[in-house]
Amino acid sequence: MSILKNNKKMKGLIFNIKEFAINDGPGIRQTVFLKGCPLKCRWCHNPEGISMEQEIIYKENICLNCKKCLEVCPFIKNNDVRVLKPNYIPPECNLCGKCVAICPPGAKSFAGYEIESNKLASELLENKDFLKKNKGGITISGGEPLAQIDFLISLLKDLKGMDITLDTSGYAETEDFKKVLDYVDLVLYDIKHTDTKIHKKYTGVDNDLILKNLKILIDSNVKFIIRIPLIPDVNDSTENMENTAFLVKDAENLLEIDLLPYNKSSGAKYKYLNKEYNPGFDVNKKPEIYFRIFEKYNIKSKIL
Amino acid sequence: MTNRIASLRDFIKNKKHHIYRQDLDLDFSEEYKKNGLTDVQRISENLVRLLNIEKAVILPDEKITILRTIKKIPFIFTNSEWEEIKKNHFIHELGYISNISYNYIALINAGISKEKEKILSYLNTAKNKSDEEKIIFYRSVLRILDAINTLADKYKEEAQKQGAEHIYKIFSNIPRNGANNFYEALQFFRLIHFVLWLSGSYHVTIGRFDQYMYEYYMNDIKNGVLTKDEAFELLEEFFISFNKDNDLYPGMQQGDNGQSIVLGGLIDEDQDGYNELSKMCLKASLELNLIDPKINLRVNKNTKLDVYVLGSKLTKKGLGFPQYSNDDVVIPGLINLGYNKQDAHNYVVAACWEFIIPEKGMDIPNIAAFSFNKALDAAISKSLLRSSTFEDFYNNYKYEMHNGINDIIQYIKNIYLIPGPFQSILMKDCIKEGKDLSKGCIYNNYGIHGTGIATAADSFAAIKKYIYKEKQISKHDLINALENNFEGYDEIYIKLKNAPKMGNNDDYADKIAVRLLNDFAIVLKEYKNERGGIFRPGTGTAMYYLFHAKELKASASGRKKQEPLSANYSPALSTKVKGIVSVIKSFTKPDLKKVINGGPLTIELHDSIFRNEDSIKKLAMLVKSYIDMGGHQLQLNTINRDILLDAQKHPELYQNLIVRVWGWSGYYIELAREYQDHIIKRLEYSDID
Repeated sequence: MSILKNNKKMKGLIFNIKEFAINDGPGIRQTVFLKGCPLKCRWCHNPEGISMEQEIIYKENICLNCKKCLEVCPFIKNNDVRVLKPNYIPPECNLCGKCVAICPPGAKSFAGYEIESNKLASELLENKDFLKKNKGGITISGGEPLAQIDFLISLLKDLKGMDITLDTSGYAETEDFKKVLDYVDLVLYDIKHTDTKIHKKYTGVDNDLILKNLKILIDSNVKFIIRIPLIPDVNDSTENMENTAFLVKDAENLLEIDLLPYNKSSGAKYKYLNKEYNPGFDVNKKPEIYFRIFEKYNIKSKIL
Repeated sequence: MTNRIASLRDFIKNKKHHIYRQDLDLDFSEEYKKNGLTDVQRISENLVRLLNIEKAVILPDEKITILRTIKKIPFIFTNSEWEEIKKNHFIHELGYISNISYNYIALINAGISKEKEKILSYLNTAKNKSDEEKIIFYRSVLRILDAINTLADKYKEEAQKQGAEHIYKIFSNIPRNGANNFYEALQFFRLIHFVLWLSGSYHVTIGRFDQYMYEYYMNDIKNGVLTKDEAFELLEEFFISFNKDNDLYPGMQQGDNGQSIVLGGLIDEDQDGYNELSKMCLKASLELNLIDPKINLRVNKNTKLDVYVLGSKLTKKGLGFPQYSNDDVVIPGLINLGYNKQDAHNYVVAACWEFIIPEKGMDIPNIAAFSFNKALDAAISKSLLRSSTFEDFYNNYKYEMHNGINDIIQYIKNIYLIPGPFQSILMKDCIKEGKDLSKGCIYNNYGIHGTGIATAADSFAAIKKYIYKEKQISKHDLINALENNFEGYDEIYIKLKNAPKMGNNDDYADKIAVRLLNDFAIVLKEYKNERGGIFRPGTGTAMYYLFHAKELKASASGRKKQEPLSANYSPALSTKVKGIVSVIKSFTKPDLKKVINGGPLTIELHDSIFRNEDSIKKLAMLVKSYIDMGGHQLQLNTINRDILLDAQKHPELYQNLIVRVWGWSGYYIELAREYQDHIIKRLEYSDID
């Protein structure tokens, strides 16, 4: 293994590493997902990435109903085990992990685990020859990677030499965003909505900071792709498309705009977190895809 | 696809041609017995009679004809005779010759008349020497050839009646004469292939079609006999013909019929055979979306990415092929086993994945399967307690491996194969020597599959770690836990499940797999079969992934009793894999040149991975990476668990759903439930997170 320059033991929380990522930037990539996000988008298909904390998730389809998890839980009385369902997690849960350890099929597991940045980098670099040969690299996504800024910077330093793509909402302190840009080769930048009121309604935050950071991105040399998750009747209007195009039309470092039609299976993971999936729009409706609008501005667009 | 082809495809897919089938209950075995016919006489008489009973059926608008109307091939022995034979002989599967790659092109070039001339001169020589056996043999072959001519004449007559000009013209030339052009060559092939199936032989492979048919194709294009579009249309019709009778062919499940075609591949050290015809075949298959012919693609380190891209388009379609074979591993592997260099370069793929040699190989590459885990069960119960180190235990395992393999090989003695006089025309020197193919040919090797490699490697890894290295589990506890299928042994179960697994690029498990395959090859090297052939080790499982699993106790890998093994060369079913790249790395660590009976790395992809053009290219890059990393064979399945589950509930909605089973593609709804469930359980690599 290469000797990594940065020896600080910087810890962070991640929830997944995807080995064969083919829609996360150029070539074949490996994507690491950092846990925690300041936005709470109603359509988020990785809800286990939203909380900044580790959580217990429960997969009903592999559960054997043995209830060993309830028996071993220090916060559940023996008498109550019988009446409780296996998906129950007590409010006092302190993530001791006894239920996870005892669950035979792994139906109860942790979302998110702590890892040191240099260790994570080592793991990601294991496949570096394969990634380089296939004109790819590492993508850092999440959650929102910028929400763990120190960990992120540490990780980026340890990954020096690799092609790096950053997948971000852009919602972070501008100074932090600027720092990170020094380390990345491509940014996938989400624009959920150009109207700040609607943005706030569906993501929990307004978009001023995001648009401010977008200007920083445009002024930097870093290549970027705008990503729009197309949500029916939320942001799929021609007006929103025009406004988005307008924001970036003069950017020389813009590669393209990617349109991501809403994925119907997005709601699947909410059950794992014992959460209701209540996105506030019609999940069965197909969003309108007005990619021609971008042609007007000479912007390349792609539907993913 | 032209309209004509689309209609023909639908006609066949909707089984409209089944109305022409004859409901017959044929059995001539008593008569044969009464008349004291030898087996060669019986099989040729059988084929002659069936050819005479066959009707000429020309489907509306078709150009490449011949249809099977006899549903079941009558057996040539009575029950009591067959029981008697079985008492004294090893019988492989149904007893017929199978899994052979015939030399079609020689007969297509020469025509039956020239072939008859040749055989007549050998017959005369045999008569002069009073060699009874050869006389019977040659006479049998001649009778069959005459019966084939008669069938062709029937078709010619029918064509005249129907006003089917093309077909009338074609049967005025072939099969008595050699084919003059691509169209005639394809029709002649269909006829030969048809006769092979009618003889009782099965897993009748197609071989290197793009090589041996190339001259016919190219001449027609150069001489303006056909345009490329016309040639493509004929090719598509030719492909459709493999789907006309395939429900009648014997196999473990519907679709398991061995009609495999091999495209591309090195011709000699420098030349790659991938040509225009290869490309057309891939395109035809992509358009037609049928399970036959099953495409095998031979590749090497110089194969360009666009070949893989075209292959990936088929994968995306869910055809379960192409299956890729790496010349850079297979050819040296075959040479190491003693195959002649030129023959090794000419290898093809048998019904599933086994590597065989066209025209010269009377190999039986699927004669048995060794269960890595059965030997491990034996080692655990007999010698775990007295093995003081892991090395001791592994050595004791090797002893059980020896025993297990020896048992298999002792069982395969005194093989009896039903003769194939017609087949003998299409294989090297059989006619010249007057020796029926069933008695042997140039190569007479046997192949042994190896099941449950990942589960075995995982079990060893767990034993090494928890019993010997970290001493967290006692030997007694492990033995009891496995006896009791982990009932009451939760902590042990979880530890074992979390031990290192093959597929995660973890040397702890992977290095053990390397040793297992190495030792498997070493043990088999000691044996020769009764025909002077060798035993070839392989990494395939065939359908044994279900059968062998039923004989096992629970495994130290954390596998519960009755859980099936994974298919072929792939991670154990319940392994939490990091991803495809780790799997590829794990499974290319063993020296795969040593296990050249074949057996592909099997990967299931979730269809969501194929969201756009880009994703196809990236999949192609992944496949190329696997080949570049020394992988020997690869088969990819594109599935969607939700769809598979729904198809079990509403099969009528999924008539066209194709899946890769263990070495061949079949229609999902036609599979037995067990096989469907296994596919659903398989690890799926998706791009959704």
